[in-house]
Amino acid sequence: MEAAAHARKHKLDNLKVIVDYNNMQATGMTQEVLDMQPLKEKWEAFGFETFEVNGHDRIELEKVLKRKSESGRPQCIIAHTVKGKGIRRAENSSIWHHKAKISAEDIQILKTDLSS
Amino acid sequence: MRQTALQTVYELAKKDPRVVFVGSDLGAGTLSEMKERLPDQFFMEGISEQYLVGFVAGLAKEGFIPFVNTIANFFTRRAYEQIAMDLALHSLPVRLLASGGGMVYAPLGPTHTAIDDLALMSAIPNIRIFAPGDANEMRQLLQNSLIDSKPWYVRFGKGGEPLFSPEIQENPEKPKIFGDSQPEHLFVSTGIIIHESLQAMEGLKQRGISSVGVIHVPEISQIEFGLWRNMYSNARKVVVIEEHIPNGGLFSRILETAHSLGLDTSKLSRRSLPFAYIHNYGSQRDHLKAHGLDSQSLIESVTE
Repeated sequence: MEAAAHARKHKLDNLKVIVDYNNMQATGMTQEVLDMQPLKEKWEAFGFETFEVNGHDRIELEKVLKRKSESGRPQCIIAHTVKGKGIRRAENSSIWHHKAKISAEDIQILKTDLSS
Repeated sequence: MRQTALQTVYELAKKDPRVVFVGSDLGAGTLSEMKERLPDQFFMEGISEQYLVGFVAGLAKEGFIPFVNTIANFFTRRAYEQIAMDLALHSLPVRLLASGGGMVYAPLGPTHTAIDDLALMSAIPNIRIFAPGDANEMRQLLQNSLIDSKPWYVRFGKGGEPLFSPEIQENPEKPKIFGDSQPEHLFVSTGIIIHESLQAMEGLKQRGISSVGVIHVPEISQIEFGLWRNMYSNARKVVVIEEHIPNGGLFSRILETAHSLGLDTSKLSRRSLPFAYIHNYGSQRDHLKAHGLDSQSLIESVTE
């Protein structure tokens, strides 16, 4: 919050903050652990030009990252993502945040999902 | 001492465009001339110390030499992580100018008394820690700081302390030695306590006790015994006096260093603030007296 306030003060129009917004913390969903909603309004209140995109869409990301600040203000991109995207077992699973042991079956599923 | 420090930063900034001053919210009139004449080297950023330290780390990475000033605790307690991770981890040449060391802000209560700052800073690698005893030492330390690539923490006294050190010093960071070269009693201190030690030495002399030596240690991040090792070895009693909690400050550093050098540590004792939050109201002077750190208490510790 301190840094955000100063980014506006110093008119950092070449600063882009990207929030990897997967709705998860290490223990569970952000809504259960520490809800940060409404996130877009918070960044806007700190003076950021704020955009929401699909964080898995390369074209959408490229477009928003190339976008120049029109108001001389810093920018924030809230990229909506799915934690563990593309691997069925890992998607939206807190267990996979700290996972140290991966079974042979996990590896097989991982390979299948990544090649599909 | 604070005025001298800030004025020195301004003088350095005039000659060297790498020098910048960054303050939190230091009050109207702080370095107003610098603000007007060197606006690109002057930043007043508001009460946001965590950001301040990150900000100056970035400036230092870009080749600037930032001097940052706020109240001691707001560096050491509030921005501890940023000091460790943004400054010290990368060993960046930032000078943290810490106002109100020790009990200077005692009338404002435990939020403002910096009685653990030396211990907190000592736990971070790469940081050099200084507690000058007067304005002469402060000025020359900061002047010399331009050639040092490490981060610095500089503890300020209240200001208006009498001058005890020379106007020109080649090595202002080195220990300063006073009194008997083979003393029976040796007082060792850092920061403004030197004035109490020197007064105590005079007081004892008037009472016929002249075998007293005094050491002032401006830099506590490395204890140089070289210049006073013989005095230490000759002394019957070595008392470390500090405006700090008992642990992690000057006494700890001296004890550790003496131990590693194989010196007799049984002669060492300390006089310090208690390991407690201090709630009693009073001035810095009142507190020094109440906790036995003033010259009178030092005299009594020898005569009684």
